Amino acid sequence: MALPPSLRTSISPPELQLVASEQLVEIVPLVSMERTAFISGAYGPLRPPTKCKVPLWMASNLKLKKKCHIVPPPWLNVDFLQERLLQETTDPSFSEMPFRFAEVAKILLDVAPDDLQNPDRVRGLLKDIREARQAKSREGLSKLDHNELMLPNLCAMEINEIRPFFVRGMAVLTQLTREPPQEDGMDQG
Amino acid sequence: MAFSPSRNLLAWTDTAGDLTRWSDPIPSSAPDPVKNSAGTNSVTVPVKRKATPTLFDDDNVAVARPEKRGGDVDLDEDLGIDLDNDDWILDDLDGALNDDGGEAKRLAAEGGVKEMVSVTKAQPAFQPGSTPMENKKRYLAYNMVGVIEVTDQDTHHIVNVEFHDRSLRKSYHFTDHFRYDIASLGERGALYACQPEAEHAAHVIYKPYGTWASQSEWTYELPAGTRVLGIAAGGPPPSKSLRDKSDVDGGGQGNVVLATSDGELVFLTGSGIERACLSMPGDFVTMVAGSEWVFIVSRDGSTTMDGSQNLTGRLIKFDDFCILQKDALPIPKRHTLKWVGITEEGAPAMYDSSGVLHLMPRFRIPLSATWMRVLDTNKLERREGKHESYWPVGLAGEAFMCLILKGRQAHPGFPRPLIQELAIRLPFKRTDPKEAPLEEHFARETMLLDILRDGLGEDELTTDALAARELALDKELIQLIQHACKTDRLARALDLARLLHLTPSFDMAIKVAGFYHLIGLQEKLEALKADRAADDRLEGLRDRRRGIADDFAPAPALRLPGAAGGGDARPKAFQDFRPPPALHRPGLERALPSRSGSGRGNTDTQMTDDVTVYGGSTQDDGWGTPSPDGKRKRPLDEEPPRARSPGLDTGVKRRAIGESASTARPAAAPQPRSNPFARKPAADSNNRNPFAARSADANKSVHKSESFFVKVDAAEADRGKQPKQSKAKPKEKEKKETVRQTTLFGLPPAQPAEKKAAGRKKKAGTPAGEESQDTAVRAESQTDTQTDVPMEESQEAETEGGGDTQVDEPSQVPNEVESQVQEPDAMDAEDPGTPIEWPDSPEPRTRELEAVA
Repeated sequence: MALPPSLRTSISPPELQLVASEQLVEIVPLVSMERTAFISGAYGPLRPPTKCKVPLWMASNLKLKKKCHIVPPPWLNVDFLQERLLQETTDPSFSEMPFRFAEVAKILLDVAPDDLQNPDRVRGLLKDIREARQAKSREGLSKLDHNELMLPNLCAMEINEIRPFFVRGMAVLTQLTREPPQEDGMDQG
Repeated sequence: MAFSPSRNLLAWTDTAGDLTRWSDPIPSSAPDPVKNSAGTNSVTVPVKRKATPTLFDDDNVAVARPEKRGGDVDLDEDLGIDLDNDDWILDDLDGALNDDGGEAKRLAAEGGVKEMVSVTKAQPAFQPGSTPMENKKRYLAYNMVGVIEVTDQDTHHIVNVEFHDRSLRKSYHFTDHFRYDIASLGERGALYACQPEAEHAAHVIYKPYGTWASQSEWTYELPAGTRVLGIAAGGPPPSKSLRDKSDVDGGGQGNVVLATSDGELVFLTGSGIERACLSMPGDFVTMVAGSEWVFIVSRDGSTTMDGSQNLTGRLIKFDDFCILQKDALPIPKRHTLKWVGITEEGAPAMYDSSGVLHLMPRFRIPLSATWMRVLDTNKLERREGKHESYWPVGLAGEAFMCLILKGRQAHPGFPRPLIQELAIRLPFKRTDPKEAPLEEHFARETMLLDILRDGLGEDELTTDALAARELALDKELIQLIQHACKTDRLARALDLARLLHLTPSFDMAIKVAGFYHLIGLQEKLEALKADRAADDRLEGLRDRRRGIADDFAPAPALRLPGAAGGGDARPKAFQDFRPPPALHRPGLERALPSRSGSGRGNTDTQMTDDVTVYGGSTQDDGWGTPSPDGKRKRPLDEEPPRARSPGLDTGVKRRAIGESASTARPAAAPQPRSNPFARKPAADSNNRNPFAARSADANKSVHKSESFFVKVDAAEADRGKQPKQSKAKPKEKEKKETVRQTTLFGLPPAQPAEKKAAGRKKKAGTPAGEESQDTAVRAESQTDTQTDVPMEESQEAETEGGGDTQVDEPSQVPNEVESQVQEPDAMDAEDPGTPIEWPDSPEPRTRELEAVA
């Protein structure tokens, strides 16, 4: 890869997005298609107006060709996000969000804003949530010690964000605290 | 104590037995208790008011009044009024805010009044899937095919048609100057109708989606003043895309039905051909068309006093306009029909305002299907704590497609909401967590399978898809059996096993029983399996379908025995307008390559066979009639190929030949032409050959049967001499038996002579055979009356033919060739597929030729 070595330690967001696009979403197809085998599995049959579950990559592909409507997942609407934002700002722990919500939301907002209700508001809320969570995860890093970091409900994108730092930070901390148990470690080695 | 319901009056009795009336207990300053005040517009209020004060005021007033009556009236009044006023408010609140129970509650409240005042309001006609105009927009149709949206532009409408499946049909829009206000979106075309207005009468316009032909769109004008109440466009779902003009399937453009205010139901094809015009029984309410039939809902009579809409649904088939189903719609009292539709499998479905979805799964069994409750939306889990209603769009398999309306919305708005799917669920009451879902699923799946299986028709046993679903269902049943065994409910396990579809599944059930050491059950299961193996379930089901089809086969028209047939077969003199029989000119005949092979051989032998018969037929007039029925049957099959036109030209000549033979032997019987094949044809008068007119006398058939007996007898007599003849088919042997009986009955003694005659005849060889063919033709022309055929006629025919004899007779050999040529030809042309089994007496012909030589 052409990335500088500093970035190679973690996956890039587009890569995460690629990973996330294997997730299934519901679509309302506008064309009919028999059940078709793809590398990742067989999907279909598409029978308008019956809904169908297909991977996100396929949904976005069809959507770009105007061959389907994407049914937004139940967490991607103003009400739900507002409630989560409130939790996020009042509660010190992370609120429960789908593991890859950031990626999925980005794809859907990019590809199918017309299928979402009030996409601008959704986008704003997502940004707020992200900032609130980011603040928390940074704060959480301050509690980093050499053997564990517990941040429940942290999502893929956020883990990815702090990964370069905490991997190295943990390594340093481990080095700093290694002296006493060194013999044991040698024994084992 | 009570208020008067009609006046401002209070009356009470006390313990002393005094009845007191108090006029105007409520002062005029307070709201009048009887008349509606400006603040209340609900009809229900006065009725309630009568009741509530008694409940509330009893203690206060009844106890207090007797003493206080003198001066404290005002106070009491005030008290009463206050309470009343509270009630007023409560009542109002009740009516306005407490609408949770919605329609039902309000209607229930109204019920009391209505029973006294008037009958239930009749539901007006509607189109399923349409909405009223709101904000200048409305849906004309919203179903599983697509959506028709209308936008009002004041001077005209814009109609926008969009389809769910854009690969199949092309969306379009048009400007509408007629203000189409009802529409139907069918599988193969969209139908719009407008009402009569000042400048134009009502009309209907049908726009097929895709077509290979030009001018596919048509309009159908209705007479002035007639309104269109409902329309429906139906048709089989297209198998290919309708966007592509070049390739269309053969499904046509569907069917169109309209209901008019004249009480007519007009059936048209998708291309505008008027097919039928039925009368609407009662008031039209709504209809929807499927691929084979239209489902029409009407109100037969009027609504009932207690709130029932009294609706009846009928399925009327497109092909013959017969009723397939007719049943009252199961709508609870005080509820209305909201929607009717057709599932993907083709079954009719309905949804009412009480929120219950009904389906008619066995609709293919004429007049015996039932409505099944498949979903009660009031009991959905998702509805808990929410206020929403469901606006049906369609039903596909197990999914109820609907639009979910929030709050008190009655119709979907714009922009178009997404279609949601709810899984249908039979409203079973069991709540056992393990078994109940399985049982429910089994019942539901069985219902859907029944729809598919009923659609198989009379030939197919099953399809792969069906078999796969049955297998899946059997797996569930095995689970249930296993559970039943575990809990030691053996009768239940046995019952479940009885429901299994596939024979191999029984082995599984037996294994399960064995696992739980239930020997008794195991044995019973094995017995059940043996029973199932003995008679095939699928064949049984198919036979049942056949049986039903037979039961409902059209009853044939009444046919009088003598009159109908005999008359037209032999027209009276001067009433015969048929062309004269064609003259046969062998010289001008086309040379046809003779067909080699077995077919030809067969015909030859057949002909010779006839000849033998012919010889025998002489004197048996008397007992010809009783010839056993068994014999008749076989020739029936063989007749048609022979009886057709090719026999015609040869027939004329042949007759002549026959006559020549008979003239040669004047002593011989008058009707020498009898031929085994001619017998049966006489029986079925249907395919009478019109060209066979002249040869009126089919009496031969009568005699023929006997002749055949004679022949067989003869054959038996000299069986030793003719081993080949004795080799005849088993059928012939049968006949021999019957023959023997007839002989007992009175066979004339002159047999050997006849036999000789037959032999002589054989010399005529093929021509005679051909003649037999001829007789067959004629016999067919003749009707079933075998008995009353005048002999003279037949003789006449012979003599008449006799003139030709000389001409034809010398050319025997050509005839023969000809016959060979023509016969296979005829057979090929007419019915190449039918295996023709002629009575097999293979060699006789060669034998005869030898004899000739």
